Amino acid sequence: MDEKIDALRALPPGSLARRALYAFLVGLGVTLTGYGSMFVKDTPAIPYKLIPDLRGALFLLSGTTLGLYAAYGRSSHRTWALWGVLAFVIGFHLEEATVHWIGPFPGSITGIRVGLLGTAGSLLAIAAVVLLHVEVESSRLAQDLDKRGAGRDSGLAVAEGLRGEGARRVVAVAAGAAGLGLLAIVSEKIIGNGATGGVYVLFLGSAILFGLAFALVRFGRR
Amino acid sequence: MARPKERTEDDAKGLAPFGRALATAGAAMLTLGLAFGDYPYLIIAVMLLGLCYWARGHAVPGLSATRTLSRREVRAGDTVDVSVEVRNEGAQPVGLSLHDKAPDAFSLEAGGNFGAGWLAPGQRATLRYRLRPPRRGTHPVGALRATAYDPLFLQSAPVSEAAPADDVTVHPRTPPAPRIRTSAAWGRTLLPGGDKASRGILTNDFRELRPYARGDPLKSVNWKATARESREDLRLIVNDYEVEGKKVVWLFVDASPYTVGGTNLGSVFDEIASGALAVAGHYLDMGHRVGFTLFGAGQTRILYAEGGDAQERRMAALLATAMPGEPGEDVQRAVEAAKGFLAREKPLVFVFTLPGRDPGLAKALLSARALASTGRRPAPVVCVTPILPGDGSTAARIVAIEEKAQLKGLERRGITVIRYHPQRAPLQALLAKGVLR
Repeated sequence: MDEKIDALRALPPGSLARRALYAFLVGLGVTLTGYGSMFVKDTPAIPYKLIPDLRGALFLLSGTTLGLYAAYGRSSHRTWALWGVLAFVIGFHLEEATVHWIGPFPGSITGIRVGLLGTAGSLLAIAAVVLLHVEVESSRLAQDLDKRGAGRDSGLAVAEGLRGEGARRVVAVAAGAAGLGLLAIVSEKIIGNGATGGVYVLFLGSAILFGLAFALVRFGRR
Repeated sequence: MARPKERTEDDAKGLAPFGRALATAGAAMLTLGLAFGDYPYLIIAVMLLGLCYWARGHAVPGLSATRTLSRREVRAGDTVDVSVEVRNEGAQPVGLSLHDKAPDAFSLEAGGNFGAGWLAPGQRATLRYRLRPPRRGTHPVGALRATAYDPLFLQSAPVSEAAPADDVTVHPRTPPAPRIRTSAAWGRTLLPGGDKASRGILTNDFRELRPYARGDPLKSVNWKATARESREDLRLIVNDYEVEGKKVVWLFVDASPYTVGGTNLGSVFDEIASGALAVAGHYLDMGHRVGFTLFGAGQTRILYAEGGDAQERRMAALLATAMPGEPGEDVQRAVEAAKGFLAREKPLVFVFTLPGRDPGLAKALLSARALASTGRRPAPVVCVTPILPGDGSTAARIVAIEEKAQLKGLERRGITVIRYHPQRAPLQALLAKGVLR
């Protein structure tokens, strides 16, 4: 127990608060994903209103637990948390994925409010897990550099710089993905929805994004 | 504590475990998205794979680095100040750790050879530290290794060599030679050839430059050297010449591969080199000329017999750059190479080696004695050898028996043998045993 308390005390300033925030964001993302699902929208609370509807609290609690699990320890914690979040994402979007194969819900929901909420929540949850990864690894790097003789201030400066740059990149990629979703919504009206092949507009959008990323990485380095 | 795995510049395939998980998840979401024709799956796949793609673009930054050493040639025990400056020449800020590798044997006296920094484009970082070399040899300081960390921590950190290593040559420190003043003391010392060779008719053999002393003839003043040395006050410098009839001592120093053994703070060869310098210093102080042969590692190297401090420095430089461990010529070849000098100068011969390793040692020493002897009177030949601490193993006992047998054989043939324990009593202390200081 003393070792764990010492480990907490050794964390860089503000790290604990940031980890708590990101863990909450994982929970929030999972909750939004859940409420963005047709399953939740069109089914009553279990067991049929005999007890209050606690589904939202359960989503938030389970998502935050995943986030807290990812907020410490080795990278395997973040890996398992990532797969946990993906399990929510795959599960809650499954009805949309299979909507054309099994009834009773017709058509795509991507463009409607519920679909937007679910997709945005999924992006938020995954981005929060990656941000947690950046936060934990940057803290460990700062401690490692300090122990190897670089000094606490130098280690913290490197960690702070990397954390800022890492967060910027995560937000940029998430924004790019969200922009791709908007492209899909806009183009759905022109070239059709997922049921009529409109989904393949994402290939065009992805190609544009990857081309942009390639140009940035390749030519924007110096 | 685990830290991001380091990879070299060439090793570009290094996603960290979480990065691999992210890539796998992205691939899974892409497959699901394509299979079901589902927007959210595909959008999430784009995000996951986009992060991995950005991380894979992480590369060694453009860095320029310079290392400045206060001195490149030092004596063992002196300090060297090292300053390393690194500049970020790229257009992106970069998080770096810098490690300027110091030789294992050197001790870090001040500062640190490891540092870290977040460098904006054009910004500089500096490492400053002080090293103390404890042993002779040519040692590389550096190379400077720069580790650049991925801001997403999805990619292992590439390590680049920002500045190559610089060599520092460490000259062995000459142990203080015993001052033997009385004839009674000379009777007790182990060193032969006791008379001081500072008197006699001056020859034309130049010895060294030295400050003017009262009584020096005016014609011996070296005016060019005087002009160089005289900054504000006149400081006369004179040419010093060898005196006629001066005695000559010849040292053979063994650097064969069997002298490599030891720790990173000192090897058998270091002990041998230290002993040779102690004896050389003693005879040079007495005004003798000292010749020198280094054999056993690479090509046999010879210094002609000369006197003065310059000769001592030349010997120290030769010993500093010796690389024991390289294949070289044995003692017989070394005597053969110096036979002209031995026959002409008739010197007192010292051989610094480890006995029991080279079966031709006795033959070589007898050959040297024959060359250095005048008439029927055999010249003194001294074999000096450090006693190594044994580990009690059977192999060590066998080596000790072979050493003892060879040394007994040498003594039977009239070779003087001096053995000493470097840890208990250094050679210079043993030579001065019972001698008034």
